Amino acid sequence: MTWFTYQKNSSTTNAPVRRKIQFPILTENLMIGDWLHVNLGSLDIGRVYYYENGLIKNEIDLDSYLVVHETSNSYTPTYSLIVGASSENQYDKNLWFKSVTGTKAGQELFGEYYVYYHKDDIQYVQLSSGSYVSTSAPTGSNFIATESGTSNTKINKHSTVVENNSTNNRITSFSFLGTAGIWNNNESSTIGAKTMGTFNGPNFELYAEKGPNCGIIKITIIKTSASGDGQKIIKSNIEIDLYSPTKQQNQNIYSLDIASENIFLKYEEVYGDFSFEIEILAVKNQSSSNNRCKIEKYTFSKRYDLSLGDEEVKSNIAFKSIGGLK
Amino acid sequence: MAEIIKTITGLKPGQNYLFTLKAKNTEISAIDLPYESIRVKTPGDQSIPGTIDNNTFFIYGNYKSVMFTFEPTEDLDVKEYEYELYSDGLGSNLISTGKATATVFTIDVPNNSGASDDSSAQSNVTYYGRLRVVDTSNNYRRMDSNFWTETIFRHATYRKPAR
Repeated sequence: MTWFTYQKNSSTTNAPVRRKIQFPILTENLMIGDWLHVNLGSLDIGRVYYYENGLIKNEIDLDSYLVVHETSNSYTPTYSLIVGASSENQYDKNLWFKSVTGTKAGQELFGEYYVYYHKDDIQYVQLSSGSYVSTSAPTGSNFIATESGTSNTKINKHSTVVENNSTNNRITSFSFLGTAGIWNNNESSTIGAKTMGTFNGPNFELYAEKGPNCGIIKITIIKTSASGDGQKIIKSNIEIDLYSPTKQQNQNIYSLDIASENIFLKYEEVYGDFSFEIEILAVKNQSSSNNRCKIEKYTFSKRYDLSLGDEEVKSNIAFKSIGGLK
Repeated sequence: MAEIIKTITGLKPGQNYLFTLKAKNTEISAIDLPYESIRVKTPGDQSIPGTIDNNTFFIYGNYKSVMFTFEPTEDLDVKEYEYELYSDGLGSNLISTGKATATVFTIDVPNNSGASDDSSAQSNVTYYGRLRVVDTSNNYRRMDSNFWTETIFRHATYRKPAR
């Protein structure tokens, strides 16, 4: 059994336990830099219990787990963070990590991901002369991701970007409805013309061009997964005026956080399958010269249906039995 | 729900331990897979580890390494020994520092046998070392310099050979 190890104080050390992050056959192109998540459910990876002021307390130890991508001859740690560990909602409790490899949809993942845990300061490692060595917490180089900021360690919950042009490198794409020709070069001015797309919750953002000849669109958000109480419209009649005195490309015209809508409680629903429908309305801004609509892209975080395997214990440690009770 | 209390003794302070449960049916000798392990960190202690007996501490040098040897202290929660190696007895020119878990260990030093010919008079090379104990609660941080083995360091003199 291969196991990620690193050097600390001139000796080799390792985490005592790990779990494999299991990938099904991919249903979307996975790209380097994508942020992935696996729902932890009731698992307490990262939690440490300790004694203080006469009480047994517990907390999430942010540096006690590390996600590592492994191949037959390499180990590559990546940025990770457990989000929502203290939330009452299980759908919030997710391990987010950054992809270090790309794999096409329909293929098996190249290599494997493991989460190593229950090891204090394991996030504080860096590559040095071909092997990983520990750094000094809390200031040393580490693989702890963040929820805020602007650096490449920040979790991007919009890393799946679906472009409305030939540069789109995702399987997911826009669909255009209506008679042939009403959508030309991915834009239309025909009243009633529709375009659709699919995404996973909970975070969704829509980008479009604004300009002096742009009209008003109506957005409908539909839950399409059959989990929970089935398919239903969750947002309707959202009208957005795309008029602007000057042409402005790639403007964020609509954002949605399904979790904050407080309509779902299960992971399969909040992070479930959704679709949006956009329709060009007959009404338009009085200042606009036309009903033109050009949606340019939308963003979300693809749910790859990842799961965690059974806990594996490093073979060089053994649990000492302290007897049984009937 | 029944609450089962079991006391575990012999744990060291400031250490991480993993606990797991296995359900066993003794009638059919069936054992479930272990449940998810939990990590427990025991409270650290405030005690200062014992000092190493100066009478048992020696260092020996040669042209490429210096060996430390000493008798261990009687502390039950010793984590490691921190060492420092100097080129002067005042402790101002540090050559090497680190941590070891054994009571006999060797550290590398730069090759000091650099004489260009055997006619040159070779001066001796003297190393000065000191040690202190670190326990599992990292209590060494609270020590001052008096908790090192000696204020005047143990030293080892190596006579450079002529080439």
